[in-house]
Amino acid sequence: MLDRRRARLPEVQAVITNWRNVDQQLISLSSALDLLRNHPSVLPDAAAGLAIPQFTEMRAQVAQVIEQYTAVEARFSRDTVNIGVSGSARMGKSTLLQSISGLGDEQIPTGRDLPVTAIRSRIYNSPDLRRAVLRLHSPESFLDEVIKAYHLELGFDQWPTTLDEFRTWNYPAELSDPKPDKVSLLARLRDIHAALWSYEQDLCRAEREMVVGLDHLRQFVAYPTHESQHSTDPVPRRYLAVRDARIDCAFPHAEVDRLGIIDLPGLGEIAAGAESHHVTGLRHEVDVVLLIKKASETSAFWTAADAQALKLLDLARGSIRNRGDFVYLVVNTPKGAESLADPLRAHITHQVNDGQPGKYFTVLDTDAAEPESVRGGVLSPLLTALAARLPVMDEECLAGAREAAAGTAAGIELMLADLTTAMRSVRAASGDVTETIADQARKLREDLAIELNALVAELRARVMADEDDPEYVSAIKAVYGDVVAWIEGGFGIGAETWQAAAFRAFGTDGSGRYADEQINRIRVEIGNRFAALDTFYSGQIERTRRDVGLILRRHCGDLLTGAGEGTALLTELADLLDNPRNPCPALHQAVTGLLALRMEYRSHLHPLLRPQLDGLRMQYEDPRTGRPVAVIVPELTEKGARDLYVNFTHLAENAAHEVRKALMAGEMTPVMVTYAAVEHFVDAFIRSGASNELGSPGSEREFERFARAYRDELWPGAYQGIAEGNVRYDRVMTLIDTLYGTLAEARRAA
Amino acid sequence: MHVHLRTRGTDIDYRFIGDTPKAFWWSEYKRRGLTDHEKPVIVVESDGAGWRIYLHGAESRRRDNRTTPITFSIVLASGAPEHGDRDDAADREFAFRLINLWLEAVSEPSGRSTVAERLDEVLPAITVDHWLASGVDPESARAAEKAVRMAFSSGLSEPEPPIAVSTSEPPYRRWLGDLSDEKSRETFVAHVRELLDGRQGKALILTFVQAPDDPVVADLAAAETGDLALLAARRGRTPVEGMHPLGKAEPVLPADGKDLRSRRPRPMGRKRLPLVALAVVILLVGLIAWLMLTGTGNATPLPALSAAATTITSCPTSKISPDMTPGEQPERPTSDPRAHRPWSCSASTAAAR
Amino acid sequence: MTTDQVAFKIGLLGPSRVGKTSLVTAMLSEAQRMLAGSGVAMVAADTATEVVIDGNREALQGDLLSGEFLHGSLLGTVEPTYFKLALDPGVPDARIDIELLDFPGGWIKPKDRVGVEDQWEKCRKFIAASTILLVPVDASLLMETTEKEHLRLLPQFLTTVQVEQVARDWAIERNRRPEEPALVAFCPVKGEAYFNDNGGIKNRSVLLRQRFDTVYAGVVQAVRAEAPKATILYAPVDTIGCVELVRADWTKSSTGIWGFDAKYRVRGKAEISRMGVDDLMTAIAQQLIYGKRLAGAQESDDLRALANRAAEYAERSEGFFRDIWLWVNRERQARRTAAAQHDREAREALHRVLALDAVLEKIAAQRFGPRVSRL
Repeated sequence: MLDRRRARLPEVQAVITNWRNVDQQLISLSSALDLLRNHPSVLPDAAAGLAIPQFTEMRAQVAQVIEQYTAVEARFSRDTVNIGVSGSARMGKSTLLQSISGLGDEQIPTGRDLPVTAIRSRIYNSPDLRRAVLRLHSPESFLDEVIKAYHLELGFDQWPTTLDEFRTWNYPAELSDPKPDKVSLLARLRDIHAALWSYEQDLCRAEREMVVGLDHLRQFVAYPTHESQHSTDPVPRRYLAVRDARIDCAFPHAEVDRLGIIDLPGLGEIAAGAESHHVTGLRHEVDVVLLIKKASETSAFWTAADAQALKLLDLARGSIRNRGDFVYLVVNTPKGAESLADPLRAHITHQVNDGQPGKYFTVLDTDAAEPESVRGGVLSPLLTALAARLPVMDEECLAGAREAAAGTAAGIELMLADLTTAMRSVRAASGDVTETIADQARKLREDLAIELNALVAELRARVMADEDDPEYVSAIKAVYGDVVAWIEGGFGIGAETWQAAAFRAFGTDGSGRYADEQINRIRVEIGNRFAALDTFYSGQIERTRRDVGLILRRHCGDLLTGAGEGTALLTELADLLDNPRNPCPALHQAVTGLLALRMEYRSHLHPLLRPQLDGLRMQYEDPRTGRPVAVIVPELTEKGARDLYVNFTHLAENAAHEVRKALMAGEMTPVMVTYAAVEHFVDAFIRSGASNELGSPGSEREFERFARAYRDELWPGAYQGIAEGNVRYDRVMTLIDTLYGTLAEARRAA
Repeated sequence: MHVHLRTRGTDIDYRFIGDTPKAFWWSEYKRRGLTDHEKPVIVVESDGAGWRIYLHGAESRRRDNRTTPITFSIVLASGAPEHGDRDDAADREFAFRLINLWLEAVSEPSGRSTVAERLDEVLPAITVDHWLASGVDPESARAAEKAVRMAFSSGLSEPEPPIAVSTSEPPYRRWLGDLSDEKSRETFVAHVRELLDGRQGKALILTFVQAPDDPVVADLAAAETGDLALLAARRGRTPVEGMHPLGKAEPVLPADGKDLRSRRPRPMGRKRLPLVALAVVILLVGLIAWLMLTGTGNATPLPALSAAATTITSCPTSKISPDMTPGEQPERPTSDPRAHRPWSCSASTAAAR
Repeated sequence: MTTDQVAFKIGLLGPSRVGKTSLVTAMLSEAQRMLAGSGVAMVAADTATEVVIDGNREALQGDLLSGEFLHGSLLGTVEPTYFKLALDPGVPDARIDIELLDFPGGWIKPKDRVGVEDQWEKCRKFIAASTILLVPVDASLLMETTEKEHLRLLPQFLTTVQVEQVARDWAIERNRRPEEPALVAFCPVKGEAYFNDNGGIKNRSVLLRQRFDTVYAGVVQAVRAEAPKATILYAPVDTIGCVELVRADWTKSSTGIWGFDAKYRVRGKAEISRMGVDDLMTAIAQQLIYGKRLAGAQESDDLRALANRAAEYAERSEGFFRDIWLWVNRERQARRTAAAQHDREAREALHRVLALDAVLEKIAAQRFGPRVSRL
């Protein structure tokens, strides 16, 4: 039975996801509509129709649908049949629990007079385990859920937000307006306050769960005993740190394996505001509820409070049709109170069942203290009934959710239909508009071509110029000067230091190793310092991007204002060109190509210039004999160290000089690179033809698409009404379509 | 006094500023193997046409476009008659001071010399480049002359010239000393003074000469009448000790095969010899007559006369063994002219030819 | 007033400080090496040459020892300078003189020739009578100039315009005497860094040649146009060998004028290793032998004609062939003396004279090295 239930879980979850999507899409649609409404071409009266009426209500409905399905989800994902046990205090709940679960007072405290159970326990039948897992409050949750509620009830307008605050809080001994319930609340609060020391540590644990042996459970789940309350010692109240407890143990009646019993709080004990929250909790947690009423002298009849409790439980029923499926009444007749049982039963029949026994609710009889009685009188009939009715209940829950969903979906679809009509009215008549768009696009393309070609020509002139590019010359000069300064400054460490180090190295390894190390170091350093040209290169390239960007901006109306210049502008343009409804892949590729342009010393130039550093070697092959020759063989003396230093400065200066020469004379200057790149850009942007790989119809057609997509930005005020193909319009239409789709999905899944 | 200045500019090669001397009379000394006029030198000539001075070697702080140091040359020549004599004394003083300073610079080559400093003060690079660019231009020439004068005019107010002028009479009228020898320098300067004042002769720093017995020296001595104040200045030489007199024919056997050209006997065209012989005879006659007339007379003129006689009957360097030592007073002429050595020398020379 | 000395004339054209003195020094040293053991000596023929060359050698040695190299004599030549070398077989009157004229680049401009007319005229005559022109070319200027602004300055720094003018005049002169040999050799110097056949690592000789071709195109063209039969050689020369360029900078002075400063260093052992100078000596020897052969080829005429011609040339006292005839006649004289005198001295003299011949033939027969090419 449970497995079958389980099997339906994925569907439910899918539906939930769908509805969540719906919610998201509603939000997106709303903001897209806002955007569209604000578009300059939209006339005000048309704009009025471009909104989702009763947006918040719709969302609330969706939320509710989701909630219902979530409850079903929770229900279906349970792996036990959960029986909730409810009833006012002193009704024998705990005793019943004991009987069912086989646990004792230590775990499920019972007591004669004062209410004892402080913590809700959930007890699950587990053949193997025998333990309790306590879920603890954190200081924040404790203060927020427990203390705050007290404060609010008591009419305090402030409450502690940290434990320290709580610890030092000054509670008045009396209230200004001592109403009876308030007084007891205050007393309880003060007790809680006084006992902070006992549960503080548990609050502050890092783990939110604590496993406790069943023998030590009482202190965590029960109020202090009467005796201990009136003793002079400080009273520990460790239960205050516990949110709830889950107990695993083996039930004595092993007929049903997967059974769980949930102890529900006495409904009179719930603070007012927590009722609905509790109801929700109920719905999600239990399959059936047992409402216990004890036949005793003080409570031998059905009270208004009981009726209230029943009403609340009824709320939790949700979509389940039959009240009697969800709630069962249990009359607890302890030994010696048999005489009281009948009047109670009769009263119940009268009040609850309209005089007909079993009309609305089934009444079960038992003696809570007797496990056998409980088994026979409660468990067996209950489980038998459940076996038949649970699937039906499940189906009813699901049906209820489905109904709500269908209703909401219908409402949304209606709204969408209205919206679509409004959208259509906003759209201007097509036809001749398309023609003028094509003309505009062509003109735009031509204008851009003229200016971009002029830029290319300018760059070409700079490349062919008689003069070297003076900025590049001085950039190279500056970097070269830096290298020379480093060399002349004793390779960064000073001449004396270098020579002294060399001399020392002579002593240990001879001259070879020190020289080799230094040569490599010098080579690397020269390369690194020349790499400082990268700043210049990137500056030049950015300047080019800026120049191109400015040209584009000038001709694109309002489309590209606002963005930065250079890279920022081109990036924005690339995004705009990547419009799904009107894609311009060739243009997009041209722009991204220009964005990706790089000139880096290390990757582009150093490999070409590497040969210039070839002089920096300790050994080379004599071209005449082919034999290896050492460049320098210094004496292993101080003079030799000096000679080595002098020689190295020469080699290094020569290498730097050669690199500089090669840079000056090089094929690859920044102007060449930018010229080539811009020329390629202009070719690709203006003149590219149709291409299958790109999926592009060619630059001319793409310009038309571009013009259509951004007509109103490119030529602001020139057109009335939103064009079909306008990006905002499209977005709204797309979202409407998507919503339809999601709703259909949800319908299918349900 | 004419003043010419030669230097080079950053881009423009060496030339005289504004106005070039008609003849480069100093370059002959290089041809004759005596001195390199492109090294730091002083060349002073004084003869019937006046005096002229060539100075070279002051190194400017300016550098050319290949970062090579730039040098100065200054050429002075005594004024043409139209200038009149009234400038002469001042000019001579100026020239003397300049030479004095220049000699100091030449003899102490390390470090910056006063002449170079002074010249650089009045001749900055821009000015020089501008003048040189103007080519043949009297304006620039005048300006350059003015600058040179201005550079060294303050020296006139200096009490002492850097090189003390030897107050005593130079021991020899023709001598060779060493550039590094202070006494030689002093004597040199004294001699220059005299040359400027009108004595005929030459004062030269000889960068190719290292010893008094260098053949070129003898050639020079043989070829020149008049005073000769010479300072040996060849690189790497062992400094000449003291001052060595140069006389008339100082017969020196060819010591080594170094300079073949000077070994070759100077060809005397056959046509010339009879004239020479005639001149000798006339002189002899004149001399005898004079002696007879004056009687004892002063011994002093005689050496001059005999020196003059020696120079007129210039003997070739080879094949004649010397009997006369320079400076020694020749014997009084006896009644037998032929007995007199110099004449027999010349006579035998004539005969050999 | 001429001597009957055999004297061949070589003109050296180029800006001051390109290294003409160093080239002459190298030629003398190389010749001495090539002639070692042959009985013939190459010497400096006058004191001036001797002192200048000694000074040059000394300065070179000093620079090599110091390690930081300033490239030879520090100062540029001021006036045209004559060098006189001589091939001396040890017999008097049997010498062959070789005169070289160092003609500084700035000397040519017509407008300031006023005042130096006689000097200039002398130079002009010398150049006209030269059968060989050597044009040293500063390789470092060619190779280390990359910026366009500086490339434009190269003709001025290398005085190519002046060189072209002189070379053209020379070529015209040569063309008037087509029977005489004519050789122009362009000799890139200070180029040790661009070759790898003399201790260098990198071979950039091709680039050097390209640069030379670009910058000196005018000069080469002028020579070819005026003297189509002249031999034009491209002959890079290492006068030192163990020195190479470290770096070179073009810097602007405070007065806004560009200057070029090259820094050199001694590489490897500080031992002089010349390269390509022997090719120059070969070229010179070839000319002498060519002339002699030509003269010899005419020996089949009868002796009187020969004697007349000799006298004729001697009278004219100029020209290549005059010298050749003098030389030939001297030899002949020596033979006759030996034949007539039959003594040891005369034979010895003849032997020496012939030795000079032989060694010149030998040198002339050598092939040019791989660096040399004809233009």
